[in-house]
Amino acid sequence: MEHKKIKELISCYLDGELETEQRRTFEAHIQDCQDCRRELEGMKKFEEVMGMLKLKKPQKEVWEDYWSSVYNRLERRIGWVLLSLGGAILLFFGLYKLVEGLIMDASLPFVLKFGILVFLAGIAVLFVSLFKEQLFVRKRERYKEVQK
Amino acid sequence: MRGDSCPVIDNSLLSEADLLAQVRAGSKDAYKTIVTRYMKQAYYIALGFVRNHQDALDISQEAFVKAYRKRNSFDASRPFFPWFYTLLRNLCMDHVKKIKWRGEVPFEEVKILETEQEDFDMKRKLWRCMDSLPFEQREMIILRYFRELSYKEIAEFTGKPIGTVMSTLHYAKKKMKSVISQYLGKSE
Repeated sequence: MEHKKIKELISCYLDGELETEQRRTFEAHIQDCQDCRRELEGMKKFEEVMGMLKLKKPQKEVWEDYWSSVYNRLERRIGWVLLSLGGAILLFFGLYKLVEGLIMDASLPFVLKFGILVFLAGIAVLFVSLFKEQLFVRKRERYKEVQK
Repeated sequence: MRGDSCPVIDNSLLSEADLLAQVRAGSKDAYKTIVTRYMKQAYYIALGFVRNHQDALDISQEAFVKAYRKRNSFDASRPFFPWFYTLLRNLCMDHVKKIKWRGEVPFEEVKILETEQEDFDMKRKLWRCMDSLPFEQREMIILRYFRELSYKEIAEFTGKPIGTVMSTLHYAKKKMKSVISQYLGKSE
């Protein structure tokens, strides 16, 4: 095996990830190659230091409260869905009543009624368009998550 | 009627496949067992990426919420964590892109070098070096050193071939080794 390839295997060797045959070839090369031996020693020190580094442990209560935080978030999400649904129903009902009132009101001039209806239709089109865009973005995000 | 009462099943004794089948059916109790089983793993991986306790906690919990919402898309016969890891990783990646390192060094206080100042400097430089690695290299370092996963497990988590795991780790370690060598001297 060539010298450069052996150098690349040093960390695999120390991690115990070499196949038996590869390990034998590696050890035989190391015996004869001072450069690789020096590299191996350096990597051993690196592994030693990395082995001593541990991520900070949080306080014990974090684990005790962990599930309840996840549960609350799940519950809160359901709350938001219900709130949005209720809000949408109220909004549509209010708009329906507004339009109905406008059409039935004989005292309002036709041009004003027409203007208000066109205005509301514009808002509805914009709302549907934004909603569709959101759906599209969400769909793309989901694909991103599937990728590794 | 005593004889008709349902036996209480201890979820922690169920296999992961059974638990996941229950989660798919909407059981939050079963999901609690899954979350409790993997919360530490999720938290420490997130901490490796996002560097501070509060963000790691927030992101790991958010990943569990997301996983529950997407529970119908996972295969209950396969292990949960590699699937969950993809969600967690993406949340961490988004966070890392948005928020730059603010100097936190989330290592336990274990003294490696003799003087306190040197010790602090080396850990800080190591973290800064890790932070500047490409995302994939940093991911491998976190999984290898802070979760102590084998190459095979890393390959399973990241969906990369073992050869790629080996070479990515090799280059990441080489960069980080140069920081340690400055302090331990000689061996670079």
